[in-house]
Amino acid sequence: MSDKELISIQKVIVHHNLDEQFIESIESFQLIEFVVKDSNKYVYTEQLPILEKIIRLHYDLEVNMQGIDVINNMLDRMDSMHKTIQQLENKLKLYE
Amino acid sequence: MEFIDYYKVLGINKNATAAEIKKAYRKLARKYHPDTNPNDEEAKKKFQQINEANEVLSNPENRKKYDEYGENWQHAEAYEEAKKQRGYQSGFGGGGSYQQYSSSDFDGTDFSDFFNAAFGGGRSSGRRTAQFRGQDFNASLQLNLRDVYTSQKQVLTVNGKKIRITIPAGVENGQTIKIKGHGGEGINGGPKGDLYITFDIKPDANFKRDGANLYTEQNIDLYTAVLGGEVVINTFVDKVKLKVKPGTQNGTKIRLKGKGFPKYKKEGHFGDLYVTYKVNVPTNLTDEQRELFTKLSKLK
Repeated sequence: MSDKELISIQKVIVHHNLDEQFIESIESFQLIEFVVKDSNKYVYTEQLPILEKIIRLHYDLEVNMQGIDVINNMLDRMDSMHKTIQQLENKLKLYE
Repeated sequence: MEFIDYYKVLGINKNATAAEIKKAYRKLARKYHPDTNPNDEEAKKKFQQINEANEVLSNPENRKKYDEYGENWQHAEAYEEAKKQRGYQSGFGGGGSYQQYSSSDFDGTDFSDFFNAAFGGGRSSGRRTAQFRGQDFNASLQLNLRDVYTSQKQVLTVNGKKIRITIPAGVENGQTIKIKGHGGEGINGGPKGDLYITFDIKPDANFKRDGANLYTEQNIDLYTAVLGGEVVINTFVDKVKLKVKPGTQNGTKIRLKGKGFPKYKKEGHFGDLYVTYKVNVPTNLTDEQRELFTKLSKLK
């Protein structure tokens, strides 16, 4: 993974006006994988949408870290079920 | 433009206190927030409505105006003007500072015509959680089954920009592919969003598809089915000659290995083609044919 695909957590903190404690909580609940380089913390670019979703869920909807973990797991399951439904729908077309 | 009953949207009565408004809003926001309802357009619409209702009702000044004019909001501007001339101080869109929810799919500015007309289209709240990464774009692309048999380059216009993409052979109906970095611009050095394209593949008249396997039907006459013979079958791309075994039953299924659809992102790998024989029973028999069939039936 190249440096181009990493975003400094400090940048995200400044932009979203977050506190360090919030980032530490995310890390302790293993909601996002952070990368440490030269004592600085980074997040993978592809993980940024997940991080921003966590920020919204926490600050907008006041969901705590445990709740966010549950929501993320449920959304993953929903996504997997949606894919299964799509496959079944495609299969059903065989009998139309 | 239709009048919107913001109290009804939030499910509260007109005497609701600020705390009750907040409570109702939070409850509905949790229910309809786009982050907890991905790909649900109805929820997104509902979320926009409750956001808009909150924008008006949680601001005392806006709420007062809204309550004052009610369904006659269309005349509000003229009325305000008259008031001003009479020396009153007034105006819509006063600067309140209250929290507005946000989401990756909803930037909070997509308010109704009613809101824009009555409240000047301006929002007074500051969004604390503005996006850092650019917005993701979603698009759908309708294709024929034949279009996705081979990988092909296409030029799409997304938000006024032309994007060249390669659609890999074998994409499935309903499948979504991500085109990295072709979404909205990032903010304050944030990365660009992505473009998600969902494929809507129209069914083919002659071939049905299940993953990489294709299914088709082939009519054969009774004599070929009974005595055996040869038949030319249309595969998806060419024709093949097949031997039909004597005594082939109606509904017999044969498999042509590797004559199906390309496997997604597995170049050179193909599924199979399943051919179901449909035996045509002759109708409108001539006298001679009828006689021969009768003889045959007596030979049993």
